[in-house]
Amino acid sequence: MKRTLSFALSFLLSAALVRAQAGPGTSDGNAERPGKKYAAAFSLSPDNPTSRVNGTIKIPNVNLTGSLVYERADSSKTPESPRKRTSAAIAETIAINLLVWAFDQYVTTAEYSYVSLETMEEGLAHWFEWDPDAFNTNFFTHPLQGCFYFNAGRANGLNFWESALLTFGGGLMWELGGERQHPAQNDLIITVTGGVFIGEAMYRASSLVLNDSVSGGKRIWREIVGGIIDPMRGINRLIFGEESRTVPFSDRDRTPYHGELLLGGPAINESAGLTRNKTSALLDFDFIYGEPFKENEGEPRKPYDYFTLESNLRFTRSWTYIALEGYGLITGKELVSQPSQNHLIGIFQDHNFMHNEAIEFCGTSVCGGAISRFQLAPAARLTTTLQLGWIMLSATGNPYVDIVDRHYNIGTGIIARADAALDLHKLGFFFFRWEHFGLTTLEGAAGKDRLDVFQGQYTFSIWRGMGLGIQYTQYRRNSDFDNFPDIKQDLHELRVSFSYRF
Amino acid sequence: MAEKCGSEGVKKTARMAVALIIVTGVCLLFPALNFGLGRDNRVEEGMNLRRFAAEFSLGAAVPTEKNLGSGFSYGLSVHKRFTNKLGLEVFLGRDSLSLGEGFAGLEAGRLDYTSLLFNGYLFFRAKGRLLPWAFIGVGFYFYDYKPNNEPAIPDKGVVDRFALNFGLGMDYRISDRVSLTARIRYNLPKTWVEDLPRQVPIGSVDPREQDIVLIYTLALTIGLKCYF
Repeated sequence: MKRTLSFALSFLLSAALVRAQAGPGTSDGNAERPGKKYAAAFSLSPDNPTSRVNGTIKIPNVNLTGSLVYERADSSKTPESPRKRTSAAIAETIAINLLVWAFDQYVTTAEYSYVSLETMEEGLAHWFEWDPDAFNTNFFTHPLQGCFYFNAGRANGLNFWESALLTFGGGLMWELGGERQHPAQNDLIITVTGGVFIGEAMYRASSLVLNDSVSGGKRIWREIVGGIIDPMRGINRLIFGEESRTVPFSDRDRTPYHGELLLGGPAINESAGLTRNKTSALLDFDFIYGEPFKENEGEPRKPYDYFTLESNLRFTRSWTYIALEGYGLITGKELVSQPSQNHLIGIFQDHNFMHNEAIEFCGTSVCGGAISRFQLAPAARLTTTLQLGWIMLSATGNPYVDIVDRHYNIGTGIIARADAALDLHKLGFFFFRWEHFGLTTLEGAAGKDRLDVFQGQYTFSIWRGMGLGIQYTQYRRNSDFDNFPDIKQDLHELRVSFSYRF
Repeated sequence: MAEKCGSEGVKKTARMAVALIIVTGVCLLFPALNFGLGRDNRVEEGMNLRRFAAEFSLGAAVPTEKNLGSGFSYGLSVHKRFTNKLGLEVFLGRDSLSLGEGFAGLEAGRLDYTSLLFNGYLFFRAKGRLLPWAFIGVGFYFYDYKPNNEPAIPDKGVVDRFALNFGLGMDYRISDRVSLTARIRYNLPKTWVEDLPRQVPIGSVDPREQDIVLIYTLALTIGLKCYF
């Protein structure tokens, strides 16, 4: 009974808190912030610094030391503030759950969708447990569902934290009523953390595209692309007529960004425990949003003002492997801010999802870390990232676990990460990364999982953002189990790639 | 004996429906008369719609599955209109179906169900006497199976479910406060028959191992709606 009450109270509390914070105000999304003071117009890419220049963006001033000069936007030219629609955000979150349930019930006829008042009562009467769903169900579709909750909040004017609370409420509602299984803590954690990570990235990315000051064909394609990037935002803009509203001055998010689309065919060499040796096509998309060193701009730092997102799809005959990794800066403090070097310490949210022949892993983490930038020479810049943190929840594929559809360990542990990016402009771009995940089993085959990823990359520009590169990646798994044989596996990928930077 | 039991059930349902009509009619019509029935022409001029309404509806439930026969359908609902376009309904209804021999392994009899539904409404018009709308929502369906040869302790039951319903209809506004309504509601519960008494909690029963039956019904109703 106490548990039932606690669940009900937590749900009501989340709704009430969101409600309490509603009212006249603005979201903290850059696209919709009326007082955005600075407009940066540059690309981090050395290959294509003016590729995003259009009628509203000015060519940046880059001085000889490579530092960037921002141009102050006219503060009087602010777009109309969006209205905060808390009720709509909550209603949409409920609608998302009902739509997902209806799809599961009538289209896929999933077993867990056969709910009734009795199953809901049973769910309320049980404490949270580890659920036995498949890896992709729990660690791929749940974060996607979470990002829709989150973006229902963001699209209706809620800020980052309010939307995160809404995501929690949506996830809790699903766990208590949307499935016939007992509520699962792993689902709730990954729905919220994964949903926030993906959702905020989608929201920020769509802000780069949307621009309420344009009309006609330009407006249409911006609305379409923005809606594809962030569907909840696109739907809300249609519902509330924002897709046709025009403002006199550009309200497009002018946060600097850097993206790379890469096509390649990785050669996978066999190694310990792996018997396959094959080549398969790969599509990779990397995205860096924002500028970590911005305190000189006098603007308050908000969650995800700076984030990275790396994703790739690798197509094999039997499977399409997906990887999605990245981190967002939740809060940070610049320690040094000089033309020759910048240093920032901060708290990051990390999300790692990787699936290949050696490693099936998902982890959601909170890290402390530092980002440093050294201007070694006018045309040589080194950026490093160091992170150390706690993996709140992890799932690691495990052949010894066979619980209904679950074939993975649930665990917790530490994450360590070191990146170094050396940008030599015309001479090319070097990138090195090492990631370590040290995991202890919470549920499954008792033991330790140690996963390491090492990556080295060199890319050089050939023409207008297009480049050729070579990349080597090693995935290493070293797992010791108390009651089962240990697992040691390596996967080596050597990739020649064609890339486009924007 | 079986026919007697069946006809008794129908009579009972009919009596309940009539009683409900009278009670609801009294509740709705008196305020309606008091607030201007038959002397308000503003409905055609696009006056603001009132936000709250209560409705009683009565009609027929027509199943789309074999071996299920049609029966009564009636219900009470309350509506809240948030904007000219969007509204919400909470509906409490009762449908009664006749059950032919062989449906889902059940004996002939009656299958009644109570539904508690939560529906979102989309109103296509906000002015005039005729106001068409569509709705979609979800809710709980509670089944009550009564075989004609009713044993002292029933040995089979139909599992209660959470399901989708949608439909469309229209209001014919006869005053500022009162409308006549016509509605088609499609109920889509998927359930199964279980042996009673239940041996394990319902959450432990795997639906994939059951013979799923579709108790899809069309409820065709007319009603009286009173705005507040």
